[in-house]
Amino acid sequence: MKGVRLLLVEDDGRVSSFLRRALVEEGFAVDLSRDGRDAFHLALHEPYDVIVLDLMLPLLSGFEVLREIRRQGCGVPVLILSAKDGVEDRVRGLDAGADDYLVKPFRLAELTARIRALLRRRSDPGGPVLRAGDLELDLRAWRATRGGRRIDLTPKEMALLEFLLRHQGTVVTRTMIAEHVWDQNFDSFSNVIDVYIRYLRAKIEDGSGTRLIHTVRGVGYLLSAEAP
Amino acid sequence: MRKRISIRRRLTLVSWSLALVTAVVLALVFHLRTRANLLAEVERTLGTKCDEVITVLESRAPHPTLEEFLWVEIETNYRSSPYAYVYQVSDAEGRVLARSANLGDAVLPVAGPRLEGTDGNAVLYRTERELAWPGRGHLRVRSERLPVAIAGGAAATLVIQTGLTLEPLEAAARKTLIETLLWAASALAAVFFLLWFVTARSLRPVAAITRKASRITSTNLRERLPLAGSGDELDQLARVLNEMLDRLEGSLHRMEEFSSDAAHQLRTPLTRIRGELDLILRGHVPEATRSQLERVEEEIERMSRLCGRLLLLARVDSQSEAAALLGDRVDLEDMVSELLEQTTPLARDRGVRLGRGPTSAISIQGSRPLLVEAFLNLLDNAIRCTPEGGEVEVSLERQDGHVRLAVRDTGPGVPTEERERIFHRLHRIPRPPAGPDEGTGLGLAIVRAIAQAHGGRVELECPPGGGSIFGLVLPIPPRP
Repeated sequence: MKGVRLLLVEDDGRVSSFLRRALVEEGFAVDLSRDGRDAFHLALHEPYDVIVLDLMLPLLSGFEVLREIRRQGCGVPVLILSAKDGVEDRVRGLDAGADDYLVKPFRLAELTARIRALLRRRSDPGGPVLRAGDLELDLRAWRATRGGRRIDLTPKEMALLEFLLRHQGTVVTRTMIAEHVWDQNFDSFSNVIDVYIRYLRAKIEDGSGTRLIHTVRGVGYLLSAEAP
Repeated sequence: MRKRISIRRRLTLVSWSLALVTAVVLALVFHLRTRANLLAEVERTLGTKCDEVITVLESRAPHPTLEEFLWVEIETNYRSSPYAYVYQVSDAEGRVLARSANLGDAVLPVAGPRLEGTDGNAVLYRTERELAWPGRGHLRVRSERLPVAIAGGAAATLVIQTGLTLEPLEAAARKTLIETLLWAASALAAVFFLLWFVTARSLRPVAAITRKASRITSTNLRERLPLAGSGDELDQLARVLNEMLDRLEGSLHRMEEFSSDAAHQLRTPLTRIRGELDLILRGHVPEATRSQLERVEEEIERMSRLCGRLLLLARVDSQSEAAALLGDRVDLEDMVSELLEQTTPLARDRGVRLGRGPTSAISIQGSRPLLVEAFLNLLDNAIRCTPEGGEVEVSLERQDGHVRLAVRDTGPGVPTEERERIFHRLHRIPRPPAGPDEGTGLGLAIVRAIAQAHGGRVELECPPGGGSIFGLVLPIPPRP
């Protein structure tokens, strides 16, 4: 992904150092900020595409930075990094204007998948009909078809397919699916997701067509009409 | 539940009954005293009238006949009197010497059978029949026997009687009583409404406190109960409750600070290790080293999970019973339905039938995320240790003041000596290993802590037929 400017706000030197390396390797142009006040000024004056914000910061907390820049009308997608995993912490973060919330420690793949999902969301036309190859999901009619043949899906399978289609071409992790489709964050939940993905695959791939849902080992799933 | 009478109704009724009793007693006392005073006045008047007759008898020049004299001198006086007096003068032998015309044919006896009292040498009585004025009641008569020197002549013993009908007096007293009672009745009606509104007004702060207190939860713990500023008992109650909220907020704040610091301190090193490891694994690493590093990564994964669970446990512990106190209303049946639907594929995948036993619509006060956590832990546990072809059933039932959320499995059950220990922290469960997603040994400890945070408990039953039943027993608060 070319030309993406990212602001990384993290006060822990060691964490920020490997995060910066990993993000640069992903092809992002990364600016690093180590305290809240500096981050606030940078966020307001530089045209970033996405901000990765730690909550525990000197001078101004991550919450305060977020609230302030949102009040100033800055709509850049913000991903919060936090050591706190309670539901109420997550809700507080999203309420303050964050677009995503990731609990430490995380895998780098998880972080990059989420950043890409945030960048993608901005270009998502969000129309009522989602397509991938000959697969079509009509959200108004609440109907899925593949090559014109109708596929019967349960509401959960439908929601899962919608999420995958909205992020087609980018990897989505199990935790992202759990948070968005199930609104749940429980350890053993990744098993539930794997089972649902299997059901969904059996229904939409059903022998004939090409593979649409690909497993990305150790990270999650990818829906794409072309082979990855 | 027994129907209770509201404080307002009770206060109003008790105060009003007291006012009623007071009013009735006062009216009766007033009536009796008035009547007695009027009667005393009548008696005095009768005495005065008697004296007048004597004066007339003693002072006047002799007339042709005594009767004529009396008639002229006294009758005219008595006629003009507004009160209907009667008089009669007899000699010692009982011969009537003179009498007022209004007595008609009747003769006053010297002393009536219904004696009412004496006054010096006078006797007071009431007549047996209605004399003089039919329909106007008995006469009150004063008979005085004394020597009188008529017109300055020789003294002769005479009986002088004066009388008065009591009817006008009794009628006035009755009328006064009725009027008093009518006034009292309207005053009592007014008092009733006054009390009803005054109690409502003075109890209004209670309603306000109740409304406000039931809205304060952990998310708006900064809010306080309204103070009227009057310094009365209700104000003091609100102040004490507010102080309690201050302490609660303080401890919640300290707890949040601790859990936030602990999370930061524990997770930052894990983040660093994991990040560095991820970076290494992204590069070119010899295959043997890679598989070693991947095992390290698995261990870090496990450490992270353990760390998360420990932090959760610490958070639940420090909430003690506050979860139930400060939580929102949680619809348990709704929660069970939702989680059953979500875990059904997982159970099906493992060849376990996930069933729903009897459930009833029950809501309790609590933290939904924590209750979901506890229930999912039990459900996950049950599914894991039930062999293929087995069954897991969930039920939700009311049990006198409590709700019991039970998860029954057909697994191997739990040996007697392990039944208490499996709830201990970090205790390894000697059950079939859970595969790659091995437990942290904290699951049941977390369930127990969450139950306790809601003022409840976890029960374990192992029926003789095999399997085990884990029951989450939580109190249902009485409806406000």
